Amino acid sequence: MRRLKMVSLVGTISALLIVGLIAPSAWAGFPPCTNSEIERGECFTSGRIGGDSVELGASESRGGGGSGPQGPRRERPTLISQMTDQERAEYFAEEKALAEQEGRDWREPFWTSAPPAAPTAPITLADIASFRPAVGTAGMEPNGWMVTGLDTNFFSAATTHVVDGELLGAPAAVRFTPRSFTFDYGDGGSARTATGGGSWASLGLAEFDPTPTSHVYTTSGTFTIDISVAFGAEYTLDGQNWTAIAGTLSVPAARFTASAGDATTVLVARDCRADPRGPGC
Amino acid sequence: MRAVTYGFGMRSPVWRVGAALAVLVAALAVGGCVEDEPDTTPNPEPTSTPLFESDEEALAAAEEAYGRYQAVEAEILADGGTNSERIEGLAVRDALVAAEEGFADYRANGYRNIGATKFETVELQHYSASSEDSKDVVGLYICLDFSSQDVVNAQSVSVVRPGRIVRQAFEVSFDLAQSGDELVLAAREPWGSNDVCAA
Repeated sequence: MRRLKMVSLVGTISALLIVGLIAPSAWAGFPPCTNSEIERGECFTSGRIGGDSVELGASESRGGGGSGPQGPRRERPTLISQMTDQERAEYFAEEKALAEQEGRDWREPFWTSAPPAAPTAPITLADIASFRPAVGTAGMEPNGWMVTGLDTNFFSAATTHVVDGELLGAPAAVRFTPRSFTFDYGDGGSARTATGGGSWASLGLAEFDPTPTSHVYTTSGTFTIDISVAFGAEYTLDGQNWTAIAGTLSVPAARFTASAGDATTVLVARDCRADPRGPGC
Repeated sequence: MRAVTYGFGMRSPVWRVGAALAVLVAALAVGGCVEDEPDTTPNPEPTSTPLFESDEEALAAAEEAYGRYQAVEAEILADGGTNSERIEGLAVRDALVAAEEGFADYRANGYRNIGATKFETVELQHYSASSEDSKDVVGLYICLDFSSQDVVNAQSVSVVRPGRIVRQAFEVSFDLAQSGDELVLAAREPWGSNDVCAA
């Protein structure tokens, strides 16, 4: 019989896994490969996420002491790389036979390079297509018109928010965080900002003051202004641990059509009694 | 020499626990064993300044940080692990511990590198939207190419495992350096799929 490296390895592992699942900070039971091991080719993958969950189930069914319904059995050695090919083949055959007896699924752990597909494929933006971010309200000041040569203020109120839904068949939540705001001012000018801006009042500014998101129109005419928000996304399946999803999701937030004119035109050409909400009223 | 080179769990960043839970939850759900989950959704938090404007920016920053780390690591490994303090500032946490242990191993066994390990990126795995937490802000998959590298002992005999994987995928993650304006390697672990190296 082969020499055993660590007698209660499976028990230890299962305890670590269970503890790890309850308290992620306690996960750090195994040191990472050193660069010496990496450089000498002694550092291998363990099957990672999928492997963990498979092993968790398996070890639960065996109990921690290394003896199950089938009697005492050999524990997994620490270093499969220290086995000869024949030893490894024997070991895997034994594991497989045992799994078949117990009616468990079994695949070669550690040594095979192919990981289970689902958990190792990172969640992408496509996977969360059913989660729609809310863009919030957007505004422009003055509302519906601009004075050429003066700042017109545009803003978007999109903020970080959580959308509930389903991911991989399980309840999940996606948190959308605005990463950038794009203002296409319609006159050829555009801005990309980290802030969505705010109304003059909310920023403590006077009318026509410049803001990070404001724009000065130099020519008269009618312009279409588009505001869009690029959201970063994170998901959670347990409501606590958030995993970032690569990329950003760009969503149109608002479109305004508004006219620009000089101050005389826009401020004087209307009657406040007829149009109390008009410019300058 | 350490007894455990790798194992079932190995050290995992917290985010991966979430993925493991995903599998578990999904498995339980199939079995119909999951109660209605309590509403533990945290309230939305105000956003802070984005760390990166785009995927490309995050990728470039992490690639640069890894390149800096590996260049110095290669020098130290070629020098047999001596003057290993050179690595400080280029690696933190797990990556620093693993590096220093490896350098000590080189010194103790008289190993040294001939030729250099090459790295090819890379695929962005994840990055953080904000700098609220400076840990694990970017993750990459990288491919390490050992084809032009050898590790020899004091007798100049190769100590590389026969049949080692010549191009191997790793998962690396980065913290935000204390200066706040660059990344620093925090962890490096083998990655199960070698797809990264296939390209």
